[in-house]
Amino acid sequence: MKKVILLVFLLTFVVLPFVSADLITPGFEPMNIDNKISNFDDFSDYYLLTVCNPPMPRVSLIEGGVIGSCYKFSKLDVYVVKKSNFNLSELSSIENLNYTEFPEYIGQSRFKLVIDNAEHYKEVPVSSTQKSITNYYTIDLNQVKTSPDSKNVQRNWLFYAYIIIPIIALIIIIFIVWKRKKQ
Amino acid sequence: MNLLVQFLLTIILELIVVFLFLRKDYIKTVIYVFLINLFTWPIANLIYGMGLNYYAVEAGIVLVESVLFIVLFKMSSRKALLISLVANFVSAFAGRIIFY
Repeated sequence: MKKVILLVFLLTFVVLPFVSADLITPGFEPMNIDNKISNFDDFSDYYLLTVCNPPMPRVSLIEGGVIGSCYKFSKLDVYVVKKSNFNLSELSSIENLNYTEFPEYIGQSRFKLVIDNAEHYKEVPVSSTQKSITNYYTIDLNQVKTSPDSKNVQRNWLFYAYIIIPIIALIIIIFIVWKRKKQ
Repeated sequence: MNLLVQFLLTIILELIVVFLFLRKDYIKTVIYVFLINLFTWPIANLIYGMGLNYYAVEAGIVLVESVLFIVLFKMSSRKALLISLVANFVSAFAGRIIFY
């Protein structure tokens, strides 16, 4: 008996490094989140800007309502600025601003914050059914949005597998029990 | 790590625990443990992926597996709960060692 227990424990520790299981927190993988502006065409007099805050500051022009992406640890904001108050050539010089200059620059009264801290990066378990997320924002110049107005989550094949496989297993279990009772 | 490998190794771990408690009908035990995990493992991943608390999912799976142990192995509820608890604790503990 002691030998069996010892053998089982040894075997357990041999397989331990390879196991990620049922209710075991599995590994994670990065997932990009797309952010879109649904009423982009309503702002023809404005430039809409994706603003990536430090550690990797960057400002890019939003085209077609698609908000740009940022480095994963950067806070992503969206600002609007009247076309008459902004020269597109400024965009290239922004990347050279340092940690103190950047907030001062973006804090100018001509820029108006409309989306604060948009979610743009997420880590999900490798077993997650989420393939990608698209957030939709409706811009309102009198409001700072902190969450999307609607969200579209795309699922991968695992979503269907996680539903179909347990159903099949349950049918087999019910069949076994039914057959046993019949005998 | 490949999900299939994760699943199969989960079954191996749970089988080891079940074999410790039940030393009879080895083939039947393998089939039943496989079926039980085929039922609970995807559901656990699905619910956990939706953002439910890890420990709440774990507790739910322990209870569901206990019921399935009672039904399939015709054992007492006490023994079923004990086996399910130990089996899931071992797999969860293994996961914590590997990922944290």
